[in-house]
Amino acid sequence: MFDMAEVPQPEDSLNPDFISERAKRLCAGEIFLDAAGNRAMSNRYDRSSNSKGIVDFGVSENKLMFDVFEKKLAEPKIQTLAPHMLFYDVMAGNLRFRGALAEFLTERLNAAKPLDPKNVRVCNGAGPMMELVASSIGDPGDCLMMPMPCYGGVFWDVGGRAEINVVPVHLTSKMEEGDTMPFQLTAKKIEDTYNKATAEGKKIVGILLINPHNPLGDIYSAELIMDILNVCHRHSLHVIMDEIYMMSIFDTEAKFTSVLSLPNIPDPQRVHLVWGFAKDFCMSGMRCGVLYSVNEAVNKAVDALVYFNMIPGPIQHVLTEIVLDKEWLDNVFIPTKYSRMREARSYMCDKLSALGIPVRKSPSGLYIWADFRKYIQPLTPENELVLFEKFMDAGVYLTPGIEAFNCGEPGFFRMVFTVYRDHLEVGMERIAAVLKDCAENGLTKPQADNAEAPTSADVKEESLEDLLGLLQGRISSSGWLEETRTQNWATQNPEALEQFKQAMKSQEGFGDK
Amino acid sequence: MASNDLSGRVQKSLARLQANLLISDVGWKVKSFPFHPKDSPEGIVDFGVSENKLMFDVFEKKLAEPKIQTLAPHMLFYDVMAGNLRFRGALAEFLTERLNAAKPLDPKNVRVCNGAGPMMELVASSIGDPGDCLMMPMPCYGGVFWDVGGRAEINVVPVHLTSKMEEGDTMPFQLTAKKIEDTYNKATAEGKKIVGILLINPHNPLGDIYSAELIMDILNVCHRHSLHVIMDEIYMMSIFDTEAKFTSVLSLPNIPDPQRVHLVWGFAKDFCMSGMRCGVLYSVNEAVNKAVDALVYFNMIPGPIQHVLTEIVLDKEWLDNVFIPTKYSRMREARSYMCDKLSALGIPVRKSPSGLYIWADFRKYIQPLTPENELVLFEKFMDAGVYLTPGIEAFNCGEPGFFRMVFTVYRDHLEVGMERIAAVLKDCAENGLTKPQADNAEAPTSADVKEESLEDLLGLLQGRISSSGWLEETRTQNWATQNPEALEQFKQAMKSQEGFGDK
Repeated sequence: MFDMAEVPQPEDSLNPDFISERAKRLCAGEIFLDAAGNRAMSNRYDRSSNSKGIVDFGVSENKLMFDVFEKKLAEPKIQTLAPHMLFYDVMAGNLRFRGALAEFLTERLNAAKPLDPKNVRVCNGAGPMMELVASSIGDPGDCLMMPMPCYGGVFWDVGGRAEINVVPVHLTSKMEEGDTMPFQLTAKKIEDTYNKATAEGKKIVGILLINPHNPLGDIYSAELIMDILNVCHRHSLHVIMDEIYMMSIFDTEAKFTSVLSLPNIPDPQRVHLVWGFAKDFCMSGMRCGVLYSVNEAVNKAVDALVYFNMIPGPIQHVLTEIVLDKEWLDNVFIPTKYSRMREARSYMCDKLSALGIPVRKSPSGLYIWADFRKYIQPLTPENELVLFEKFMDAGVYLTPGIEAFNCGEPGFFRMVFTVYRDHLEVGMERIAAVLKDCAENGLTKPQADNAEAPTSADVKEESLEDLLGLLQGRISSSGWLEETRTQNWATQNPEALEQFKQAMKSQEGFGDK
Repeated sequence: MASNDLSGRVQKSLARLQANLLISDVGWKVKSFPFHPKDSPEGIVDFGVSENKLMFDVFEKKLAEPKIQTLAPHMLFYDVMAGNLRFRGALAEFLTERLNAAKPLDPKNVRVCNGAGPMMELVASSIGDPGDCLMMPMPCYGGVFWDVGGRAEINVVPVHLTSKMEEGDTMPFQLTAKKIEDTYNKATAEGKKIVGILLINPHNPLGDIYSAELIMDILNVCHRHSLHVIMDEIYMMSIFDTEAKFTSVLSLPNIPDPQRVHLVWGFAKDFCMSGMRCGVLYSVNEAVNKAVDALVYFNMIPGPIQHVLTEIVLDKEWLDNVFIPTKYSRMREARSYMCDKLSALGIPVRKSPSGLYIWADFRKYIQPLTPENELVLFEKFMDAGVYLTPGIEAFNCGEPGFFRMVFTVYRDHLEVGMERIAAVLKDCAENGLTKPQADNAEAPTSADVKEESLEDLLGLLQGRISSSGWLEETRTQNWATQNPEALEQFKQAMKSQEGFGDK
């Protein structure tokens, strides 16, 4: 993967006099999901006001339920304001809220025994909660395993500041012996990864799992979860189980097993459940993540650190009322949501089916995992990004498997279907148009926005020194770097890229990513 | 799982927290046993936590307005991490006016996160690496040590101010640029790496407002040494003395090093909503802003809250004609009440035009005047059911005798609290500063301890502590003040054990 950090930065963008070393590290990398997401968010499609904007099938949000919420949140009970909501409260969440969550989660997760409110903690988002837990169980440089493809934000959640590294447990489309489907997770694959990484000197403190899965949409069986817990227990590993999509299982026949529903887990002190309101309650902007752990040391650590991650009192009140309204949840919210999700998903899948795009069978999630391999010839990581750029240029944002989810092989995209109907229609049309173009003309590279970008011909004529100077000059003067990811240039000019990389290696301080 | 299975870095953070038990411990103890005239009259009256509780009725009315109640889809979905642009634009407008800014604030340089304390951490992390230092005048807002140190590991170097006036001073605890520069030189000579200074203006806990000249002098000193200035103006709209002249750092037309000046503000104090969790940063430094943009992912504010706060700051008419005048009027009334009662008790109060609290001088009641005895008085107040924050433990004051007292509390709390204080002081005047009764009658007495060997002492102490829950209920300081000889013996014994050292 060609990394932005390898490209010489224009001077003064990060004046070394002004900021700390850690700040420089933070600003050096670029998170693909953020950059692409920002690009889509700053030019959103809207039927009336911005019909040329980008349809967002990328960001994992459920936009289907606003009307139902508008009604719910207008209720007087929810609108009330009491003094305590405006003043300092227990940092890890007020006790009424935590009690309501204990009750709610006990039911929804079918918990083996009732959750204790004292073991429930809240903060301003599931991602931040991941950071709090990861910081408590690992020191900078320690590692957490995670099956790939995975939720792309995890690298920033645990790594951005807490400096925990993620060790991939790579799953592939090629089925291994014993597998019944592609990208299948098994306890053995986890243990093999653990052994290999440990032999390489990595210090693995635990594993991060998301169930129901993002981006695959899978639900893990009870047996698989127990197998994994047993492997982890064998090696004294923590398990951070993120069940943030537990209430986004639109296939009501599917059987979901929460880790908290298993009666006899081998190492309860090392199992930490994370959940949040963003996905299941269609309110990613509300910022509320939940932790359930019986580990007193971890809880004590979170109690201390959560000072930096508190949630407003009024929000805690609103969310309390929402989770306590069982009647509304069971008779209004959940059935309406699942029905709308099934409808949207069907629409998207039908369109993809007509295009010959296989979709992974999955009972849950706000997205589908789609196989575009037949349209990506030759099948390379670079070409996956070419297809991504073609989609973006055509005004539709799909997240590519490698860049966004660290998938071990090219060809797969995640597509979020929980969007407004007109967005769905327009987006699928645009996809169809791009694929038609690919089928007829091959996977041609998208036009570079900047006609001054060096071509392969220009570059071959000159010495390496000239090449570097040329590239540096073009990059800093043209603003091209702002507009196009360097990957584009790289895919357009693979020979020049090779020469550039060689030249960089010979310069002091540069090395392979 | 044993505590020692926690990561090393979190164990360090917890150790730092333990070093400031008052902030982490006592505040919550008070919150869990609060005074209420009917429901819990024996509860503790809170003159400790800096919150303005006087304006709930006004907010209740304001927040019920339809415009504020509206919900739009974008409020429920992901938005710009450092705050949505409408909110930041409204804040730019609001702060330009309230701070009398020298030039209009640019919304692109406004950033928000879930609290001014967290914002302190973000800025401090961006300008300093673990082990680096920020100077701060003492006594100071006690939470700063956790804000910049708890996890970001920035150390705070005190610029100690004292009640003894130095040459040129016109009042006790006076801040000057020279004192800052002297501290800088001394600390740097000791090998400390100072990256900047943290100032709070209007001041907590003193209530002072810095003059324009003082601020410029400080900025010049900092410029001389390439230091960052984090200027916390979180009480800028809590200046109940309307004659007072407040100078925001952003109102000064020609500051020497604008790239190193970072303004922090928040809604907690000025808008009486500490539970709302909203802190604001204004900086023109692109590198710092970029770092904050990256980190603020961990500190986002809910969309609906941004909407409510936007509407509040945009309602100039309500601010100027309802909120601010009502607030200041109530603050003056509460402060007068408290000061009159203190005056009757012979307690001098620092003259100050701002803040939710007063800085009171209890030295005449603390004989002999020692840090330990300041805590004895603190404990006596707690036992009597009133919480005042002691200067040394809570504000790192360099000398004993001073307490901060928050007056922005309900009227009946004010009355009952002042009665309890009067009773304690009467008792002190009549009986001397006697040590408060230990809750646990089993706590070892000096007599018991002298009979036994040091080994027995340690065993006894360990046993008593772990079996009685006494540690939960009483700070060890109580035992220490009750049993100074035993404490000495204990300390000696501890020193001889491996791994122990002085605090």
